[in-house]
Amino acid sequence: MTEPWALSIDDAAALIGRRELSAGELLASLLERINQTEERFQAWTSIDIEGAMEAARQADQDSANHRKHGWLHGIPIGVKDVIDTAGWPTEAGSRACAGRIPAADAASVAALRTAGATILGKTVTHEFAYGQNTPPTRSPWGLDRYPGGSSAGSGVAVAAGHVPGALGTDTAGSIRNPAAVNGIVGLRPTTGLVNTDGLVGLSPRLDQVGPIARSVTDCTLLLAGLVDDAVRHRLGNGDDPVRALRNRAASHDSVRVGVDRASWAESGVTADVIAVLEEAVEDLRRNGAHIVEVSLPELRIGLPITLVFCLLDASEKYRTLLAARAADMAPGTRVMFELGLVVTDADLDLALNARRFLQQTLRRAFEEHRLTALASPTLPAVAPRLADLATDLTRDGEAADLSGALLLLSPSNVCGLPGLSLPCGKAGGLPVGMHLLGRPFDDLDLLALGYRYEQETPWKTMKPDCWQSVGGEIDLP
Amino acid sequence: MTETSGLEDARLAAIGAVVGGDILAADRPALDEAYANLVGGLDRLRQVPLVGEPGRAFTVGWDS
Repeated sequence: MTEPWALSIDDAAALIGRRELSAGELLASLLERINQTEERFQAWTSIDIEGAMEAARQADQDSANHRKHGWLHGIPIGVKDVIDTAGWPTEAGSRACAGRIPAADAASVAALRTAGATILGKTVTHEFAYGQNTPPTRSPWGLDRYPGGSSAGSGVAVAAGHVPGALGTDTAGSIRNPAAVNGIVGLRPTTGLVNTDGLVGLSPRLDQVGPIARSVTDCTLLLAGLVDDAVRHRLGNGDDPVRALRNRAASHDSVRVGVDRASWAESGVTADVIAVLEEAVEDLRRNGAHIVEVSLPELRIGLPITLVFCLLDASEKYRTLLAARAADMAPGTRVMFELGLVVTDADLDLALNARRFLQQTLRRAFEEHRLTALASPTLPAVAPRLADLATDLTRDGEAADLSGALLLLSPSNVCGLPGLSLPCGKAGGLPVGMHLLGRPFDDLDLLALGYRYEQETPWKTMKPDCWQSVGGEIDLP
Repeated sequence: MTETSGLEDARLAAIGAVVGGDILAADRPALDEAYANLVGGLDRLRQVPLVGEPGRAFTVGWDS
């Protein structure tokens, strides 16, 4: 039998539902897995063992009484440390927030608890989710490799088998980026779909909370746990999210996927990643999708729009903290907050206009070509070595530079569109992610497209070497 | 203050008023570089055609 820690959310929930696995057994297996590997990966800022054990006990008691809370009954979940958890530290990866303990759960955390999830602990984030510092988290694909960001801990915890799913936040790609480098799946939902109250965020214009998991099915289950009933029905996956996903995927014979290869080149996508994406696009075609060549050079303005929104909104939000605790912030983060202080109303007007322009451009392209999604690489290169990584978000892209990723991912945030990253192959032994940008509130269509791709390709089973070592030493480079 | 970065005295003063002179001095090189990149980004935004009414509320959906 598969070790409980290695189970998907879907499978674990089914076993718990049939009482063939208890929530306590699942939790114990995950805690043992964390105990074996956390020293190397450092995915967590804190683990609420007592709280999780109590929640698991309650879940098992409820199971015995035939009371099931939801699709996530008894499933342990990690939560990025910018998302509030009642009575448990939420420090946003910053010394300036050390000791901060929120009184209430963020709306997303409360929703997951209502759906039956056990909140296992808080995962490492770049400071304030800004991606400017270097957290201690290390990639299970290579300790010297970039583990993703800013939801680095959530991505690594899921990829390393510490937890079957986690919450991340995505202001400019911070869910999809760690999903890509860790060989897993991440969804940045449509803006407004998930309640972001209780988020130590950067920009309400750009921020979104979303799921990170090892399959599209599990992301769908997490998303269903994050939204309320009305939204779930609007999405079309009301009563049984997995069945709705499969039904939607089965009806996808005439799906149309746009590809803008020129934008890949302009974003500095490396030749090895392009080769993997070409194969992925061919797999989509073989799988029934109609591939449509599109030209969208306007996507490049997503980066400067993001920059203006992020700088301005974050500096407004953290101005008081900056004045009081500047010395406790990492220099890179502090510089971003400082720079935001000089962004003017005229600069904001430019960005607002450009956002309308980009939205109209994308809408026109999706409608003219009747697209379900626009496919691209998630990142322009495989995970760079940490020693080679530049983190300046204001620059306009090079291969080992995070800003190249922003060119590909930021249009989703700027226009509020759903973006899904899922594994589509390897280059140089490291995972490559495919990004699917979708129509607003058509998140289920996007997931269905990803699900169908996932079912017809081997990449869902792609795991780092440490996955094989259960209860023993991990072999890492 | 020098004018080499384009970050003029008034803007530097605004930052210094929040973080203090010592931290501003320490951050200045990175701030200058980041500001130059921001200015480049704003130049690109100025090239975008005007669309609709300034300040109009943004709606995520495409229904309208």
